Amino acid sequence: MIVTLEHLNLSYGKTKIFDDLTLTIQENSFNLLIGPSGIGKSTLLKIIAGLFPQLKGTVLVDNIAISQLPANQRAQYVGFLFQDPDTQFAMPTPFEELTFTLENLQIASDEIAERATAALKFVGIEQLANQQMTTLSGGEKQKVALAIIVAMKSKLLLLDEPFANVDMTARQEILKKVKTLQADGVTILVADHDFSGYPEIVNNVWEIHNHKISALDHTQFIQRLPKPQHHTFKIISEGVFELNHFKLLNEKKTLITVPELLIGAPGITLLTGANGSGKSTLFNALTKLKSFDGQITYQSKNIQKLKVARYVQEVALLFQSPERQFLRMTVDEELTLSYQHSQQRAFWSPQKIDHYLTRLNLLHLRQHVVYQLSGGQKKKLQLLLMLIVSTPVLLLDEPIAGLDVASVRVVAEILQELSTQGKQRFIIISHQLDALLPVVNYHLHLDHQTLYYQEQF
Amino acid sequence: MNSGVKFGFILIVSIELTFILNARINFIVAIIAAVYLMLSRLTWQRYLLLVLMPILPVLGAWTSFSTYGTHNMAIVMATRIVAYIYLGAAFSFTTNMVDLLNTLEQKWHLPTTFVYGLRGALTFVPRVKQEIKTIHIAALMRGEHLSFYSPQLFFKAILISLQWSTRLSTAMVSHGFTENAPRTHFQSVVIQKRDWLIAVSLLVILQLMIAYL
Repeated sequence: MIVTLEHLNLSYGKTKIFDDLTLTIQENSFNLLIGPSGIGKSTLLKIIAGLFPQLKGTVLVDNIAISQLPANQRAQYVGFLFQDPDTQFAMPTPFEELTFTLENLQIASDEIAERATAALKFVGIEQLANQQMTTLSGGEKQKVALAIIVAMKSKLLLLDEPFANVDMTARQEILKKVKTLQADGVTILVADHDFSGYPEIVNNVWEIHNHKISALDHTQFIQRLPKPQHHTFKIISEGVFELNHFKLLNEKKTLITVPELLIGAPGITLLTGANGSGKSTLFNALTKLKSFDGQITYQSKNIQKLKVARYVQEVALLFQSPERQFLRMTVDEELTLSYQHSQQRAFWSPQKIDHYLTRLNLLHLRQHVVYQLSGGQKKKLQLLLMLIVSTPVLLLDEPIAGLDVASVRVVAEILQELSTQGKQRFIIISHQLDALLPVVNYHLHLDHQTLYYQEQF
Repeated sequence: MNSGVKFGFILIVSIELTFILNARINFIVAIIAAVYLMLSRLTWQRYLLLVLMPILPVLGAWTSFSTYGTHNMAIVMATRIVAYIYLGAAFSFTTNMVDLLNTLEQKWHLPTTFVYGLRGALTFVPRVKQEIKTIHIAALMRGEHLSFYSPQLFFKAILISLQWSTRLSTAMVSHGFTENAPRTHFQSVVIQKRDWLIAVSLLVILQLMIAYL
């Protein structure tokens, strides 16, 4: 038994999270943890990692109460891969982070370089060793985080929605490496909303439901999988943006070159492409957050010549990290602020806002402090706030990352309703296509440093 | 020279200067620091800064001391300011922070929590600048204009740094960092005998100058 949880109880104030939860995980198994956002998946992983020492109940990893161990010993039992790729490193480069970690574990100095290089090689990122972390893409950062766990030789590997900002290719590569680790004797527990790639490799699926945890058998799990889909998309004939001899660079590396392109047709445009290919950077260029070569016009006006304050009332961006968009303390105050600045105030009546809050399952949170909401709740609130503002064009950067299946469906429905009513035009970056594809009108793909529309998927 | 030795040496010289009313010594210290800076191959912007920076404080000290004090005092104060500025620059313009922190950790046995807290914070500095710009535009997109002195902008920036620091410390702990526990060192800091020799000889020369000049 590598993990043993017995009679676990946890509440935040009056909200119960876990009620007498009991779980055992077999050594050397691959486990998937599922459940809607805000149900406590991250919390459970943190409990197993020993990051909640004040908890009631028994938490044993390898028959040891690891929350009592100092961090440098704990790391040899548990390795943790976090959801947010940006805040899991203290050092400026992957190699320095690896040496920092190995120094903490008191590895002899002549062994450090060898172990660090072996870990980088195992994950296949030797070429990234001395690059600045800030220049790495989300997927590359998660690979670095994995290399560190490999170097620590932890017996249990916990992954908290590690692929929320990672594209399909990188996701499959990382999963394959994790599976190899299992063959070497490591036990794996991963929390994820997107089930693709798991049925072939998992041994157990666990679902958090009603403050308890239960096992799902293979057939039950297969039934939850999304069906394969085929879609056709429209060909663009009009668009609010026109790109001319457009060229986008990132630290001297060319990301995108486009001779001529229309973007922003009425309806929903989906923008896809590999990790680090420059999708978010393109959004930054469209919103004047990043400089570029060539020309972008918005409604035939050169955006370089438009004032930022005026322009962002036409074209707004839903940032990947929702906290950036919050300006007040509570959900209610945020909603009021958005309503005050709404460009469609007649449509967004208080009743209408309540209606959407209910659909997004946020109504009961009106008095909550925005920064204390769960990851998924923050994202849903952020989306609603930007929808209420109702700029004619809204760019959405990973709006459904980290949302559970039910929330993803609701968000897709809402976006479709608003775009068919002509309220806003949406351009969406997303890696989770299952729920979005049915509502998408145009599909713009970024590949080989250029952009083109696809008619089939 | 090892950055820790340099730090200690410059600190001692600066403290001594505060007790000495001798323009010649100030002048010699400033010249030596300036020569060291010239040998350090800095960018031309930095050299320009070193020329321009002392002008105002020197003029200020000169006029006030020559008006309300003695002519002699004015010269001492004016040269002292130049000596301080060049000494400070001789440290800050030529020292790698990471080197200094490594020496402080390994040789001076400063608490590792302090050393790595600072190193973590240093990696976040460029991101804070970008974040402020982003907060500004994100607010504009919700119809709010935050000016550069707006308390809300600072509130947001502090809130985000607090969150980063919590996540960063969790990440450090999960990478095995334990407060003030012993660690091994991939690159051991070695202080060369030559560094000590240079620092000590320069200090002896300074004492001799104080005694005889």
